[in-house]
Amino acid sequence: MSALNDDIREQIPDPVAALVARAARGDDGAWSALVDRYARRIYALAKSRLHDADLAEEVSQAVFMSVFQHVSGGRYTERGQFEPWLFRIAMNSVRDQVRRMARRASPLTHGDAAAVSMEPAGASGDDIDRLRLAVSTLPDADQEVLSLRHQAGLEFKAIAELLGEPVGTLLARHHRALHKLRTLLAEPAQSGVSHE
Amino acid sequence: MNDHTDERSLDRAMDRLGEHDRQTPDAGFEARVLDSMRSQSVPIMPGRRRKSTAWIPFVTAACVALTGYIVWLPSFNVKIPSKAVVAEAPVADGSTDVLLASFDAMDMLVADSDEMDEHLDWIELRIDTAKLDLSPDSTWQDIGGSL
Repeated sequence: MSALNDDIREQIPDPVAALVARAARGDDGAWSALVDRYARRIYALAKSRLHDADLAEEVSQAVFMSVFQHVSGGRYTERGQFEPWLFRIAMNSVRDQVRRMARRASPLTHGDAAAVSMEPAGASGDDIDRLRLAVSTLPDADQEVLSLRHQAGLEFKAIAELLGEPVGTLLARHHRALHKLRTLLAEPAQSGVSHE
Repeated sequence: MNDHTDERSLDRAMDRLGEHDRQTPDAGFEARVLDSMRSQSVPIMPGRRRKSTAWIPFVTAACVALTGYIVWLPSFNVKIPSKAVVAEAPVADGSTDVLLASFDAMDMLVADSDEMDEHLDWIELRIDTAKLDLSPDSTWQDIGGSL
């Protein structure tokens, strides 16, 4: 059944692959479509890790500049792996920024996390702010899995390809990250956040 | 069961957070990304390497060195006579009794020495005699013999 699904999948033309092929030929419409499809997902991924809207936009632009150079210069070979490749570039850019920020500043304390991650008053609900604050206190590896899944909107299979881990391991990591998050949200006195 | 429900609700809450983050940028966000992408320089074509300019400083240095060699180096070998020049026999074999401390010293020696004057007078005399002996038929041996 799975082999049959794979056969069917191979016969259906991949819309992203077709877009990338058109983009490689210099089709402006294809580039616009790729940006429409992925730019906000990359932005959300970057913002969830960097807690800075301007920096997140900078990272998004840098990622697409890199993609443009590779695809236009013929250095990208289409093998139906555009999405994992694109988000790998994004993850590496975000990791570089996180390292740069860590070198510049002292480690993020709980209070600092609250300061940088809170939206301006009235911009979003309290629940979202509380959740964002709780996520920012999780270990980096957990934040990475959560942001790839929920901010970037990737399927577990794509995340597994991107991080080079089995899907089962990824599912377990995601489950553990949610469990830690739930524990954090359930301890308002210690974490400063409350369960919804 | 309760844990499972909690996890599902948390999963959905995370999805809402992700959706909220994706909606955060303004309407011009995509246009800015496209602009930044297009504003960069022309991508490098495959199989076409950018010409290196690393050779320029080396070639410049080589040209300067060559010019220096041609223009300045020959002048380094010219001995400019000065009053402090010391002349002496390369080997102390007694062939030179006089140590010429300088050109001025040599002049003084020649001027004060009667013996040297006599030698010079004799040499001049022999030259004058040789001049008188010269004829169109003279051979080099004759001229040499007269000296």
